[in-house]
Amino acid sequence: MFDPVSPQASAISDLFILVMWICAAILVVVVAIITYAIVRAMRERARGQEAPDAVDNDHPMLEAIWTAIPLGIVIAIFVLSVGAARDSDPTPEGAPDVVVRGHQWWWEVEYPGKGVMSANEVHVPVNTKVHVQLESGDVIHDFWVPQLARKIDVVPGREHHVVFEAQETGLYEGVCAEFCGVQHAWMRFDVIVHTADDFDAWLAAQALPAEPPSSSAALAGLAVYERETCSTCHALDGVPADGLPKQVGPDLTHLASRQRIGSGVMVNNEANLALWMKNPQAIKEGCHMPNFQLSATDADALAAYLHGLK
Amino acid sequence: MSLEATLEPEVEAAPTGFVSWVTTVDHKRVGIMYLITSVVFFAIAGIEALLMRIQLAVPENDFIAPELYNQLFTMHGTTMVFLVGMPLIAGFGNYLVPLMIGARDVAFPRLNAFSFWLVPFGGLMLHWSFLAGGAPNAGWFSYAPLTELPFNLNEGVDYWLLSLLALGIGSVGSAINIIVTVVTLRAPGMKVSRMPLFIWMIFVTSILIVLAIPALNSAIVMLLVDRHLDAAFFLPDRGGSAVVWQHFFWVFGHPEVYVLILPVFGMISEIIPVFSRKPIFGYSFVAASTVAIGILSLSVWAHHMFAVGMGRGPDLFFTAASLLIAVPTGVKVFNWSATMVGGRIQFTTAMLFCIGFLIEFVIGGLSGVTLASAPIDWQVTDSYYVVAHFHFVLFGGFVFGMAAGLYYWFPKITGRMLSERLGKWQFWLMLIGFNLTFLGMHFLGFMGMPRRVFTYPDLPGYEALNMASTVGTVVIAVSVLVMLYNIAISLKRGEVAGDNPWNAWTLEWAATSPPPEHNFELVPPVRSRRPMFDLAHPEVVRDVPLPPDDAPKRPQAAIVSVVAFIASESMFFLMLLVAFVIYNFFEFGSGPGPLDIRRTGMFSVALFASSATLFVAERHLRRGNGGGATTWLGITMALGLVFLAGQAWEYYDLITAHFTPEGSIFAATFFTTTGFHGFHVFAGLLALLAVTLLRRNGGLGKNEETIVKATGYYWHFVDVVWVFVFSIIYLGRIL
Amino acid sequence: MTTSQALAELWRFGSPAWFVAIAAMALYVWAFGFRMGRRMGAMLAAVALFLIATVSPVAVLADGYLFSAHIVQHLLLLLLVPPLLIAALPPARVEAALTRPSVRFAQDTFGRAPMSWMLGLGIMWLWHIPTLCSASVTSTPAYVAQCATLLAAGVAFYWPVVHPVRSERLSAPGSIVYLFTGCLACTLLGVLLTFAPVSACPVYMHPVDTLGIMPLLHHGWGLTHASDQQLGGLMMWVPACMVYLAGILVIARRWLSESNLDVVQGRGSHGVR
Repeated sequence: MFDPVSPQASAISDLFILVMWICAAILVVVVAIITYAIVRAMRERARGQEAPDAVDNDHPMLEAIWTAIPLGIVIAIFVLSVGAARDSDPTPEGAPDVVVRGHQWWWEVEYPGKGVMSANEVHVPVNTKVHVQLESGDVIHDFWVPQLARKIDVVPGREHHVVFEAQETGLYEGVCAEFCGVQHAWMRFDVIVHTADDFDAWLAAQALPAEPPSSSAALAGLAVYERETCSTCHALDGVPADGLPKQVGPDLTHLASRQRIGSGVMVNNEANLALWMKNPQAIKEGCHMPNFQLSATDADALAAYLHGLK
Repeated sequence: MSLEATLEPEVEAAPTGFVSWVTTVDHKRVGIMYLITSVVFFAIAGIEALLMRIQLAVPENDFIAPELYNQLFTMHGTTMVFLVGMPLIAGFGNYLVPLMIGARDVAFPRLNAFSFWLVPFGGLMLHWSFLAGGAPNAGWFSYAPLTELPFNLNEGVDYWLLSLLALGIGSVGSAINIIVTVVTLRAPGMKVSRMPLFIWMIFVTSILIVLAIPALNSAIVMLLVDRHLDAAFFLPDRGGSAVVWQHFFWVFGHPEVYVLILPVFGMISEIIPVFSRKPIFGYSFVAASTVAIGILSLSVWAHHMFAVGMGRGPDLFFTAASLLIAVPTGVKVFNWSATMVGGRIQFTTAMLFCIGFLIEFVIGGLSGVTLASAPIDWQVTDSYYVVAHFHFVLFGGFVFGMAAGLYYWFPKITGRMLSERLGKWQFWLMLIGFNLTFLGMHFLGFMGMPRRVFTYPDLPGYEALNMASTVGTVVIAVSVLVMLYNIAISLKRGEVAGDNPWNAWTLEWAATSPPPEHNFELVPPVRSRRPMFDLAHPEVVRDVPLPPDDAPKRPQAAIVSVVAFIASESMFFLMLLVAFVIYNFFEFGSGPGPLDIRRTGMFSVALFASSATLFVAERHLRRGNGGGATTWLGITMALGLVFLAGQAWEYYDLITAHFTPEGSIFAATFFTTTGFHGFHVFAGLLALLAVTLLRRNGGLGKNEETIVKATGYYWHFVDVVWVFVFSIIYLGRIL
Repeated sequence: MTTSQALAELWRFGSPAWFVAIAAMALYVWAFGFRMGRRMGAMLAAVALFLIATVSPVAVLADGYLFSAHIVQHLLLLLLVPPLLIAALPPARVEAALTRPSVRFAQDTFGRAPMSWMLGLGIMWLWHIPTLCSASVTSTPAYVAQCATLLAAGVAFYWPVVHPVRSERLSAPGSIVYLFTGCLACTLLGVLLTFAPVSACPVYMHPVDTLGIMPLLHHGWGLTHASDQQLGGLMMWVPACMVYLAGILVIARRWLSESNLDVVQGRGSHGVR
């Protein structure tokens, strides 16, 4: 269940599986009692030896027993829960490795002190305890990566923390789990677990400034970018300093290195980028990026430019 | 005239026609109108569910636009809880309570009719939002700050808030009525320990309604103040809190879950024994566990908020409390099962639904146990697992139980039987459709599918499970159509039921089917929990003496109602004061306001003095000195007016000094709390005025003393509230 | 210092509370005679719990170190000792005393709902106003006043529910409402303490570690000022409410089965065939 790949997620799924078995046993007992009652009533009816209406029906001892047994079970579950709560939700220590900010409907990802700003992808090294700090730019969101960690709300005005240690490299699906408005469904993200070396390489690449346009189409795209004042909402040129005010749209410096656009709504390739530029509202209705009514040429150029931002 | 015609149930001479229904105050007709209203809204909310399931049948579907989808699930949840669940309970409660306790009507028939009419009013207002620019779109618990103006200009939220306020007032009115009816109008001999279990459960439910709804009202009031007076209770960037709404909502919301399920427990506790031909196993345990559930349900609300990040301590505390509530619930399940063992089970449709209820509800209850454990909840909350869980409780539990109730009491209500053949079709279709729809959702939750998404990516397994779920919904829809068809043909040409078609044991079966307007020609003597059984087995009850009528010893209706009302109002003020403390003494504190403590203190003295003068008035009344009573009532009102004038003066000064709700949280909490208190003082003044005027014209008759006393209770309550408001808001700031 | 050392060493053998306990015991024996039985057991238990509250490590920790220990003290004095004290009183003597107008007046004034309810919970709430709470730790007279008023308030609160004379007790439904609202009041206070981000009793914020046990509390027991306050709030809430809830269930069950007797009279478990 859940395929946990971190000790934190395992603590939860182990507890869950155990409690599930306990619950299954209780269900079996109840169903067995009911089935027995039904079978017995049917058999007695078939034999014509039905009991007359009974007058009294009480058995305090039995009542006491079946009050005590569930009480014992819930106490046991409670004790187990205390342990699982400790194991699955370690107290964070020190400064956060990653700061994730929830926005309507995308995730801002910052590596404090590393000069790296990304979006909708959280890259972490394998077998390392990662301390994620969560903040919200608007309403309540929820950071949930089922295979790696507990879910925790991202609450405006508060800082929340979650710690996990991924044990296998790979890509893990994350979602926003608290309803946050019209495009809540497309507020997905990926957690990508690298080996330590790959992670360092990724971090170094992300810290580089944006790649200059290399083709004529890309150059035209940059012109469109400037004409349409994209930078009002998006950061691109170089890397913003730590503590930049909350962003309206994702950082685009290394947009092309990311796997999906629109928080999971489409695969990130040049054709899809062009579609998005033509009318984001047609793809992600209600998102905060307006339809700029770009011509097909402009949209293609812009897509070519952005797709060059490796 | 044919033989059948003579067998038709006797048509009573009550007036018929549309107007007679609109103007009726008969508890049975009000009950039937509640039931019909809930069926209409059930159809609406069901169609909303169907539309959502069609959208979710395949990944990345575009059948429904995201905004509309969000409105649909919000309306589905809100409608099902407030316009289907609550009216069904009120409907069965209204219809059955007086009949089961051998009374002629509820205690306050007019209040009853008024409470009912608030339901269609609230329902229409809520649905009007579809035409007025968009239905509410933030889910049935409308978490702030998503419902605040900066994030939601949609007027649907305002419609949601106002209609819930109206529906809540109706529910509290109806609940107070049931409490008073049960306390004061039971037949001679029906001691508390002989009340049918349905009465027990609806009584506890009514108490929960009275205590829980005000918590919602206080939250609604704060959100309305935010949205319309530009305050910032729930806006963190202006000093508010994004979490307080959740606490307040769930302080209401969790008891609400038990408000919905307890009456169904009551129905099951009536039906299973009748069709097992045995009394309920362990009556006192079933009744006492209901009381335990009622009490515990008030302190487990935050298990809906484990993901919020409250901290380890509170998380584990609420884990313990929530796990604990499973115990009395489990006791009930065992008692129902044990009732069946060794019984002569009759497999009527009602009984089938009871058995279906037992098993589906146990599944829902057990997944509830997993959700009560904080660490498990951290993983599965807000996913489809939760959707599965509460539908097992509310569909597998509530709807199945209500269906059992429908088949069981329909003959009493209409005088005709529902078709058993169609009933069994309905049962099996519903059982299959229900499990097909909701069982797979548990697994979607495990796979990480969050709830409230209008679509989902094509991840492995998602499509098959979602498609199965959609097919299941269609099967459920068919079963509901079978039910509606069954009701329609049964009303036309169903088998005539007779007074007691099931050989049942409680008092309602002593009346004719349907009962006449005055319910009973003669209420059978109540010598045990099963008066109709005693009637059928005179050899058993011979030796048991009929206890003396204790009705005169019971409290007076006016007093019980005012106490229940005060309890409800206390919760409301309690929540407002808690909000005040949270916002001003905890982290969100804003600087001290320009309050003139000395001046307000002086006006407070006038208010406190008015309590004393009212005491004097009451004493005059007890001694038969009507003139003195009038004088002192007049002085009381004058003192109340002085207080209100003082408050008006204070408000004027503050507002001219630009001390207004949008300025600071302190001002917002100050105006909300003192404003509502002032409003209550005003209402108290009106009540005193009405009493004084009615006394003059002799309109109070022999109840004069009780009514003055009851009004006095309310007035004293308003003064006591001011003691707390004054000490916390005014004195608390100098401490 | 380890936990076991702390439990063994942190006792106040020189406390005047010993004197109070011995005097109370002597007074009891002098007034009602010495006879081992249920009542004497209740009295002994009451005195023992009183001593746990005032001279054991609980008292030492409550003295400036731990808010949660302070709450344990409250609960012992307010919730557990009073009903035991009442149970130790012989009903006949109480009944006799109640014929005296002064005693009767005292009871009817302080020992009847709703006054007793307001006294019991009001005094509990009063001592949780942050300034008073701190005062009760830093000043000895305030501390003594706190212990005495908590005990008195506890007796007043329980009096109508477990009155030695049965006929003087509240009715069953009355007791249920009484205890239930008591539970609500404890819940409210517990909730406020648990969720309060500010200190409910500032004196515990920076303890002066004269005994050298802070390392044990911080690292051994993992208690910070915040988690200590949360723990205190939760204890105010759960154990208090559980005591009341247990009372409610006992009363409800007795109430229901009482009148069930005449229904079942003379019939076997499956009754007439």
